[in-house]
Amino acid sequence: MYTSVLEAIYKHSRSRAKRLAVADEKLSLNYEELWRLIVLKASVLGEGFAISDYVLVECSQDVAFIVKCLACQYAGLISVPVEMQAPLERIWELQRKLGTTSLIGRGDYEIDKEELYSAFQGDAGNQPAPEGFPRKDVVAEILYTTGTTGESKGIAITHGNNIAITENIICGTQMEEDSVELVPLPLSHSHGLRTVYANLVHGSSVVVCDGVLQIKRIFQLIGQYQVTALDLSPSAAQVLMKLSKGKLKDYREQIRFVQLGTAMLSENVKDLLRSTFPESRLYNFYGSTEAGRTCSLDFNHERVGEGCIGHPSVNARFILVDEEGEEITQRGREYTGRLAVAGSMNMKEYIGEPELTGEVMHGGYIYTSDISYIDAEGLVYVLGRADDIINYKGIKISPAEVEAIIIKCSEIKECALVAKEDTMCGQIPVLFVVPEEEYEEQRLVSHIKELVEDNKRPKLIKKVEELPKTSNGKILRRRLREWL
Amino acid sequence: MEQIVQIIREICPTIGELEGVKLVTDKIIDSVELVQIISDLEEAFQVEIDMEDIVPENFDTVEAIWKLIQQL
Repeated sequence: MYTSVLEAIYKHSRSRAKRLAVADEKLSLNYEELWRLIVLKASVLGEGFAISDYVLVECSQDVAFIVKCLACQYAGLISVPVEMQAPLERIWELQRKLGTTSLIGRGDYEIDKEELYSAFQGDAGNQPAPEGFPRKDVVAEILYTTGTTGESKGIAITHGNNIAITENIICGTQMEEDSVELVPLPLSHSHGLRTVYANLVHGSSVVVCDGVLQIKRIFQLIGQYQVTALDLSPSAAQVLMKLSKGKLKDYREQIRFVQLGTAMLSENVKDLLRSTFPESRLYNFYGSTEAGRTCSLDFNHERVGEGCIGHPSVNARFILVDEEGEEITQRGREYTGRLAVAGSMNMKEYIGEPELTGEVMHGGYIYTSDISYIDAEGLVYVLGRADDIINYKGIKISPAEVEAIIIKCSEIKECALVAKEDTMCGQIPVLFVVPEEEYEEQRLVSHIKELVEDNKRPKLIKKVEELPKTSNGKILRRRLREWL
Repeated sequence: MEQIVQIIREICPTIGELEGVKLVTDKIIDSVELVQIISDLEEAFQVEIDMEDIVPENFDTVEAIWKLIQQL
């Protein structure tokens, strides 16, 4: 197998030179062209920066951004993707943290096919084979994630990590060699960028665009490149389905799979996707920036219980640990513990934060905050985050489980269950609801009484206009607890 | 046009000044908010906004939205 994404692209530039590698609205490159551009840009970058420099690369959400990131890596630099139109303060913050002043802006190092052919005189044979590719353990990039605490953390990802992550995606989606995947998600974030890498490692094709808002262009790209797969977030999926007003169904036979990640996927969105693509594979991925996509479930073809996140990815090994950190080896709903994952996709470290790295990762495992169980067939279930689980008189209440029942009530648009400290009970469950227009609390209470076990029912109900959420749609439960 | 302003402000209560900005191009409203705005506009003005018309130019300003609705 390959040691880096770069090596894979180089090999494909020889074995499937004319196959489409990557495209956007304006530019498309086959594998030969992509490899040449990486080499060309790397030679320019290599003159401006020293080996192992951190280089911030501003996302332009196009082919040029992908080339620039990979060229940095080929030049021995460490690419640091930055969001599109990031405020200056954000760029300064990252530069300060990394001790660098480098930045490749959106307009820098423009990509031009003419330049490509004049540099190589149209002959790929002139291009010398590289002397060597980066080692697996060398850091390729730093990905910044905000997380629910709001504190920005830089995650060091090696070339070997990226290969393992892409294998998890390729196997997890059963990606076909002739696959053409559309990625409208931000390439400055791990999810979208890794889907691009996965396609490039696999030798298939990837088409990138800036979000799903420009719905007409999305359909143009799907038609022009005969797109066979979509990579979406739950909110992007909803927007796409609503704006397209049913037109997406016209592609139900063309789209072989849709993969989703980045945030919790509601049953409502799952149903919408099932009805739009009744035959397609519909994958929900569980994962993190630290470990990539580690578990997947085809929710269109596998019928599983509430909270199931599916099967571990090909490079991922899961264990459960109790409060003392001891491994729980029993299987079944009654044996719950914190989920930890090991595998070659796990990050190297949080850059400059050895203590935090040690807290999160030890013995080869990354320890999540997710309280989980594994069933006899090896399917993994997540009940909620450790700090979200409500301990009511010793009974552990999973907010996600209760919310999934209560949300079916037509009185409310959204809800969230959180813990309120209580001298008698330890904690009590409190329900925040975003009411529908014709809300009647008594009807909601009746619904809860009917469907929720009595020791898991909320003891207080509070109406709010909206639930506080992170930028990727996760409920900020900590903020809700502060409101109590 | 007041009704359009009202719809935008209801969906994006913290949006601030609407003059002199490009709502979509400058990413002042996101895709989820735009979907809600389109849905409310369709209901309020009893129109159907076609997929072909969902381009930034038609939603960047209140005036552009008003012009689009008048054409429908």
